[in-house]
Amino acid sequence: MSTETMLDQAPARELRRPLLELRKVSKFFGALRALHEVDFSIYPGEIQALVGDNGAGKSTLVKTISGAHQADRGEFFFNGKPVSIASPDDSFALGIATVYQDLALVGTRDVAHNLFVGREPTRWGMVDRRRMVREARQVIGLLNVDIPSVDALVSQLSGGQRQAVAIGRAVHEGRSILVLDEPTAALGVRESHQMLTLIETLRDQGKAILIVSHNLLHVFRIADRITVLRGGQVVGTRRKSQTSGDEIVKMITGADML
Amino acid sequence: MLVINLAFILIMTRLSPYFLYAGNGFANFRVMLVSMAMDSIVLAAMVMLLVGGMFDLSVDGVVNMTGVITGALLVSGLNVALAIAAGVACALVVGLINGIAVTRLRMNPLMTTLGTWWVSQGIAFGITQGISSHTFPQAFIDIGYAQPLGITMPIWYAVILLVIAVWVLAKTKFGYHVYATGGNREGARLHGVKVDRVTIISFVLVALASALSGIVYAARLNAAVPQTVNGLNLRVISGAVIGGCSLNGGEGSIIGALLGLFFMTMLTNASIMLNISPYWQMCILGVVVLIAVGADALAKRRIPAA
Ligand SMILES: Nc1ncnc2c1ncn2[C@@H]1O[C@H](COP(=O)(O)OP(=O)(O)OP(=O)(O)O)[C@@H](O)[C@H]1O
Ligand SMILES: [Mg+2]
Repeated sequence: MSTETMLDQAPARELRRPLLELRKVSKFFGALRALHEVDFSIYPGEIQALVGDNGAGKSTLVKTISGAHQADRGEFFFNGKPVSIASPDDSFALGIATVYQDLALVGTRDVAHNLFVGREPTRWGMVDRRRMVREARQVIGLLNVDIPSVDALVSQLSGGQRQAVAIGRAVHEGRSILVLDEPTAALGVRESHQMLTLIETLRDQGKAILIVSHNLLHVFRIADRITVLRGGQVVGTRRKSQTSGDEIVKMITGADML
Repeated sequence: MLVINLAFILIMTRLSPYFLYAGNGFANFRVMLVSMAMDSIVLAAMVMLLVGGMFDLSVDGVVNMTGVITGALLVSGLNVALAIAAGVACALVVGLINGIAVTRLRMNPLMTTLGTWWVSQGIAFGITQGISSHTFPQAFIDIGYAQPLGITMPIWYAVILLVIAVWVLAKTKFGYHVYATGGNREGARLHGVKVDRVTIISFVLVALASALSGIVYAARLNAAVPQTVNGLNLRVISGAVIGGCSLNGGEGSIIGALLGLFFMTMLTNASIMLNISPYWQMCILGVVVLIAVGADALAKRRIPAA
């Protein structure tokens, strides 16, 4: 079953224009084909989940969207207009913020700086440390997580606290799209719950959200649509209301579907 | 480090009053200050490079090469400004080669800068053919010996460069990017930090500081000798590491590095005062460096980096 037929069955929302659309995007690492002609869309005010087994190409797709990798083939459209995402700056300029699977934090720096690495606010040609600290406190407050202080070195935080810092950064800078690669992987039950609630709040504010997760419970709780990736190819996209955990598992593993 | 330094001064002053104040008005201490100032010119840039997660072994070669090229051109009758420009330009090329090799070409920094050290030191020997050039114009000698406000030039260079380096590292966006690059290069890149540019600029700054050092040495010696410095590079890196710069990058400060260098300088000086032979001095310095690097490694093990 193709993505198109699925969308035919799911009217209303998909008639809107996607905020970000990928057409036939391919990515190679040497001879390894990590992504093959991936068609993929993200809509404003929606949570789009991306699932698939280890090595399916989820993080690779995330990184082509964030500008960390350059796609070898394919086209990107933002609000219907063709764009190129060749660097993290291009992605940032489109209002896309990404939480990477390995978090990409600088352990030797404090929480405040980590929330702004690469985008440090300046004043009179110098880094505006006061503003950084002030905004860092706001972000941490918003996330409602327990982080000792914005002066704490990230290397001294727990795994969950680090994840919160990485997400805080994305929430702070993501103006249109938030891309989250395994955002709940290191979080406890209560923290995961809080995180999912936060993601729903952001969706309700009209942001487009792409979330990668192995936790189908989480996926089914918050996703509006689910895309399954296997061996670098899109197996299919389903509205949550029109699929089941069973079907998604079959799509992920490649077991007989129809 | 500050405490260790003060304790060292106290102990040495008890062992020999000449160490600190006896003799001709702090004479020995002034000698140490000037020697430290000469090293600090390179230290200011080297700390930036270390914090950014790199290091450079080509410094001695670049210092000697710049001195020799500038000296030879001066003796051949070229005017002072042009002779200096030529020396600096050659150093700049070495800095660019180092930076581009380790970033764009992904060459190993140890082997790359060892290679460029060899090349630049070879150029210094090749140009002089063993014969040093000497007797420079007064305008050139003033670069090393003038005393504005009664303070000798090397101290001026050192203070100005150190102040700039402190400001750049602690206050500017570039400084923040240096720390981020050294702390997590790939992570910083993913967040839009131009990590290759940070590294190339840092290598160039080290080369330019080495060039200044070479010129000041030539001016003070009134001669350009291909082996003017030998060991400055390791002294500076060791001082910085003893003073808290991590060789893994992401950590360290100018003030800390300066205290480390101060300790190394005092140790060398004290060994001379106590009549310890130069060979044993090397051994002592080596042991101190090993202890410092060992302490750094231990600290790393206790607090794993993110
Ligand atoms: N930088 C790289 N260089 C070479 N190969 C890579 C690189 N990054 C990913 N790959 C390969 O691309 C394929 C897809 O990897 P990717 O990280 O996108 O998988 P994933 O779906 O995110 O898996 P996981 O669930 O384990 O995070 C894998 O075969 C991986 O080995
Ligand atoms: Mg992944």
